[in-house]
Amino acid sequence: MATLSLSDIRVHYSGSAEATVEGFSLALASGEIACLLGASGCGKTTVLRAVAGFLAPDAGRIELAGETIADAARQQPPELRRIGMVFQDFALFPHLSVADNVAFGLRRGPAQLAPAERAARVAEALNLVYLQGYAERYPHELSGGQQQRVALARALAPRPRLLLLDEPFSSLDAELRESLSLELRALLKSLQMTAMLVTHDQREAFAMGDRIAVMRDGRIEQCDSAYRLYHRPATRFVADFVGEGCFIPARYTPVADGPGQLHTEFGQLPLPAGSPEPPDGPLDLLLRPDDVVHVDVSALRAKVLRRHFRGAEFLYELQLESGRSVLALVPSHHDHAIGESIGITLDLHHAICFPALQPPDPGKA
Amino acid sequence: MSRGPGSTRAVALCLLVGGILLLPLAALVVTALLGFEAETLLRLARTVLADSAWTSLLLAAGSLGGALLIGTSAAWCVERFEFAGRRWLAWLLVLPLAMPTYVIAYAYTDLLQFSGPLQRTLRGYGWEGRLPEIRSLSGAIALFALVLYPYVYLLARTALAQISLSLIEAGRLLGASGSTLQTRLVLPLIAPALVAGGMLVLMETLADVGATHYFGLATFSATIYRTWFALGQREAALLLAVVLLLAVAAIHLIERRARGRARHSGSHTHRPWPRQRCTPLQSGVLVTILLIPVLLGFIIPLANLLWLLLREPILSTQLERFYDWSKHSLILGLLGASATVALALGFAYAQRFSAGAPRRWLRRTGAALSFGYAIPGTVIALAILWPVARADNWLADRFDWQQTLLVGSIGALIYAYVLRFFAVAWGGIEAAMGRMPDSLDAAARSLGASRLGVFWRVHLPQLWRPLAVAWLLVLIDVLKELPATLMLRPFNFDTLAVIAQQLAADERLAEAALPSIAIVLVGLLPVLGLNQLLNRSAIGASNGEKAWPR
Repeated sequence: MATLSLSDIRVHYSGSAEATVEGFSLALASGEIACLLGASGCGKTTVLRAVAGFLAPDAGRIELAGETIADAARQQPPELRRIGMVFQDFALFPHLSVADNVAFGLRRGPAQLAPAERAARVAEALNLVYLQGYAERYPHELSGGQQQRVALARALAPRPRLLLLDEPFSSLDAELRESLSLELRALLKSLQMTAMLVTHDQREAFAMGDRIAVMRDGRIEQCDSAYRLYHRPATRFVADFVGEGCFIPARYTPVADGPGQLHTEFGQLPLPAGSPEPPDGPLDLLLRPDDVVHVDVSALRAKVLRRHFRGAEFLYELQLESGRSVLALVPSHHDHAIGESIGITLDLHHAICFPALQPPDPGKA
Repeated sequence: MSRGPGSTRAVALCLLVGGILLLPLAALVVTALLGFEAETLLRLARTVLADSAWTSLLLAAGSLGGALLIGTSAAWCVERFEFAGRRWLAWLLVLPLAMPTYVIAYAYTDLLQFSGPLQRTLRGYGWEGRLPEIRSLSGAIALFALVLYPYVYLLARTALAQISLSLIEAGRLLGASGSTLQTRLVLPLIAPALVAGGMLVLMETLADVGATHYFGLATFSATIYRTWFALGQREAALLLAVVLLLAVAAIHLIERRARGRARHSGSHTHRPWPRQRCTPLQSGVLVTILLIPVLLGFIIPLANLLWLLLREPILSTQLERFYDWSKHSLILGLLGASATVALALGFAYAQRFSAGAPRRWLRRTGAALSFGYAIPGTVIALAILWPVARADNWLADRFDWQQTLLVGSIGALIYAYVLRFFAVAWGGIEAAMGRMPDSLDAAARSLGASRLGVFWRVHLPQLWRPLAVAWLLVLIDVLKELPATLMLRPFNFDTLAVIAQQLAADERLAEAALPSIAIVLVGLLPVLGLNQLLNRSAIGASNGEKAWPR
């Protein structure tokens, strides 16, 4: 497949609902799956549409397989780019059967095939998405999940150089999403397809993407693996946006030979090895729910404020003595009532600190 | 998507054409409001205006009441009871819609006049009395109610079919039953449909010239026609036209609001409200009662026209002229329908490819043009004639010309038809365009189709049916249209509708029969289609329910 590179692009379209994107750069290696993750209006769809050729960048350059497909001066029309796209609403042609939908890109245009080859390619594409028996059906006769697979087969049939997916699971049931996203990832990997996916659902992004670009206001906040986004957020926004968690005030004192010390309301603890060096001044320390561990005998107590039963575990919202609340993930056999006081400790494997937003309360930190 | 400089030109062109079409109406209002002296206005208001307002009001109120009564009861019986022959009656009850008011007026005038078949038969049995005069206000009210009730019937049926059983069950659980359930729940639920249907009846009544002029009633429309042509009092005609235009605009706004509300009454999880089963005796009574409007509003007048045609031996001599009238009707229909559909399609595409302010302006212009459907043909005709007449006077004064410019042309007629029937084409085409999301275009482009390819391979296969339907509907509307055709047609250019009116006006009812029958038969086409559409949308409203119990 092919590499995609977006360098410093700016897309702005007046009179449209799409968000403005500015100074956006991203490079995809061949066969890599990237996710653009962000809230609605952050510009992720704008980027996707610019790559597809439906919006023109005012500045910057988009290259596919080393060839410039769009810059400020010239844009290759979308039909010549050989980029496949799966739309949010699937955009199946209602007047065409499943087979004719899949064959659409093979009848005319750059991926045109002779009838015999075309039939073979359609069958192959339908095989790929397990829809062999559905060729003669019409889109309205299919379930949502089947429609999505037709949309995928249709996009893949012309063997595109790049596949774009715009919120491909948003119109499906929650259960279906999870299984389909894993299935889709396996399929794209087996085809070594370079792909870019847009979503606002982080679980979808975690399941699909090799790399995830968290976007905000038309820019990339951080582009990293799911693990690093969760455990090593580069900005406070990413820390907030990805996963659950909360901040508690902290202070940091470096030590000449050995790990520096973090001072928090949980007491003093050494900075875990491999953690980034915290900045000077008052800090906010990120606590994920798995950093707070429930130990019955611990002297540090917290009151249960709210509880969410999640099957294997409870997510407790706990109130500390300071009045601040933290989240704790606890195996579900530890069943505690609201108002009950339970023992907790901190189990930090790495500490992520940002400069404090509010000055710390003296005497409490 | 794919918005470019080409689309800007298309938007500008559409707005220009729309503006040109709307200009005469605006000019009519402005000249009438600015051009009259207060004295003239007062004099006219006391005389013509007061008279025609009163007659129009009585006719409209009577027809509306009758149509609401027949239409609502018929819809109620058909949707709420299950009886033998229900499906047939549901369909038959729509037929009177194919009967133009002027045709039913000629048919009943012949049937009920002193020398007509009914009175002769009755006298044959020794009857000595006289039947009431049908050519009167009450006669017109009865006939209008008989042919216009299907508007109420169709909309009320749809509304009743959309009531979900859950709503009824909720009403029961909250303590409503029997008549309380009807008045507190069902009636409010179908009220928007009744208002909308009633407004259509009002519009048709106010626009009518054929029947009212023939019956000698001084309604707004009939008076406009008479004062302009027969009496030559142009100022009076203009004033009446403006008042009528404003009245119709007010009604139009009310109707649109009612429709807007009606749209929300459909529920997504529709469970049909099962119909009450009837015993054979009850079925017999229902069928008999429901057949009355069908017989009076369609079968009897049509049968009488056919009888008239067969009774008089003039058919053979008329056929050659009939061919000419049909040809003229068809020429106007083809040109009118093509021009209207082309404009509507242009608007739909300009709107698809534009955004922001231009799109808003297109939508506004489209809505303004759609209002043309509510404007009586006489007013539209006058709006077009007025500037021509002014130019005529000016030229006559200035150059001492004897010859008038006031000769209608096909162009003026097409202009009037496009303005009058734009809404008919626009509704269906805009809806069909709206059913194709932009992502379809994007999908086709990403699969290698060019812009033209998107049109041929994606849009046209989905659009041709609504386009054909729109074209056919406008064609039929043009064939049936009377007032504007009557006022604007070129000299010696008689259409079926015009000749039927003129022959009837000359008391040559037998000769009027053939063109009248032709108009009714042509009018049947959309009526049949409309009923099918209603059945389909009722099924659609049940949203996934396997079968709609029929």
